[in-house]
Amino acid sequence: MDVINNLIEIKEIYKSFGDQPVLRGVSLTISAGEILGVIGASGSGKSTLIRCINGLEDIQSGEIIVKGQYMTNRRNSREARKTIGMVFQNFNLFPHFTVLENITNPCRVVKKMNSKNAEIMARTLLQKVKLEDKMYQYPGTLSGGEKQRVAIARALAMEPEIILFDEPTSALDPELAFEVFDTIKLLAEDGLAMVIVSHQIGFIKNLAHRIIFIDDGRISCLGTPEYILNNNNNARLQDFLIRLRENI
Amino acid sequence: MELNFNIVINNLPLFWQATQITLKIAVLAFAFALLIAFIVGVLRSYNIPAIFKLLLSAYVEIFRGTPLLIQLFFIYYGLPSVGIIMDAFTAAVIGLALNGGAYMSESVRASILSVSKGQEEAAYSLGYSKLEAIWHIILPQAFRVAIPPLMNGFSSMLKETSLVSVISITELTRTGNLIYSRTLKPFEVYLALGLFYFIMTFSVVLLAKQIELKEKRWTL
Ligand SMILES: Nc1ncnc2c1ncn2[C@@H]1O[C@H](COP(=O)(O)OP(=O)(O)OP(=O)(O)O)[C@@H](O)[C@H]1O
Ligand SMILES: [Mg+2]
Repeated sequence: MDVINNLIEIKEIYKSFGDQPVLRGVSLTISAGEILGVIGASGSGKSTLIRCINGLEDIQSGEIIVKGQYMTNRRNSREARKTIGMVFQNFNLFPHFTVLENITNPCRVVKKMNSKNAEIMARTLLQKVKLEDKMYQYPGTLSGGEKQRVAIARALAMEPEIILFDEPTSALDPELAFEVFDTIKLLAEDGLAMVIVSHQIGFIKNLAHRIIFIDDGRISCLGTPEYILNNNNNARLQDFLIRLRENI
Repeated sequence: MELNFNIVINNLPLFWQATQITLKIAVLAFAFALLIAFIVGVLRSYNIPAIFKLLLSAYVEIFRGTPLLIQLFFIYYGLPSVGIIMDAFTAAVIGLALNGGAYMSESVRASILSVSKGQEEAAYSLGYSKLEAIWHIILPQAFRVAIPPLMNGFSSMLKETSLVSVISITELTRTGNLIYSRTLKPFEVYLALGLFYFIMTFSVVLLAKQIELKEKRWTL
């Protein structure tokens, strides 16, 4: 089946909160190793879209297929989440665990690793995000950039095939955003598939294979960064880009 | 009138015996109340069938909305009418536990709700099941929030044990009353009683500080 070649396939999903429609027929496929940028105005439904992808939100209609498996119920979503990692805008590290435990706990609980292997895994990943010297600290003592790098390491520990980033740097000062971008670049070099919601166009355009522009709950424009940023004749997108540049 | 504190000193062995009974009731009732509060508080924080939700909130509202004294009378004097008979000590522990459990379950629930939604979502996104998320992520964080109100609950319970004197348990308050009626020295006797209760509740305050200090190792 052709479905299997796609990592994630989204077909005509509708999502509303109460009587407010938020996603109005979104279809999208993401293939293994692909990096997809997601842009759009505030409230256009970007967060909702990626929260639907890993089952944090229910959808009213449509289909989400992860590696050929339909996500239909909670049990399915939980299986799918093993393939999909998520990095949140405000980090959501576990404050009662040390940096090390933030990674070893999910390794032990979810991946059923023993303590020793969990710790080896955690140390390796903390090295990768250059935070091995902070592993015995609590998240509350870290800078925002460090917190986000721990969150990335934690997501990686589950060995996902794709990571969804919801504005991973928008809670950070620009200089801290760069260290997070550098970490994300490392993952790109490893060939990990990613969906990155971000207002940092400069970052996205260098990294993403494709960018989608979400407008009012629909994918209004989809293409290469070059196409999205320069060659499209989508008035709403051009408006959005102008406002974005003015704000920066 | 002359004050005579020898009355207190001479009766110290009696007071001590009574204090032990008070402590025994308080600790036992608190342990059961904690268990009830934990179960009810957790269940009421999550989606459970409406009928259970109703039953649990009925329990909480009824025990919070009626006087403990009436609850004790009802359990000890009322229940035997429908064939449920127990000794005074058991009735006291059950009454205090049910009453304390109702109050403390609200503290447990509030502490669970105080943990941000993002924590649960992060756990789900990593693949934790609901129970795993509650156990490893939510409850440990809620615990810290719950310590002060729960220790407060223990303190209240220590003081409320004085009410069980009305179902003829010779705990601290009843012993004080007996010594007063024998000696007719209310000032000395009740001052001493107050002091004994205060020593107990203040120890709880100190204990709570210790536990809180230990939990301060992490911040948000
Ligand atoms: N849990 C919710 N309950 C009700 N409405 C919600 C909820 N979550 C999101 N919404 C609404 O859905 C719409 C889309 O929200 P969403 O967070 O997906 O936007 P976004 O594109 O991520 O915006 P931003 O750039 O500000 O993060 C908004 O109008 C928002 O108010
Ligand atoms: Mg958003």
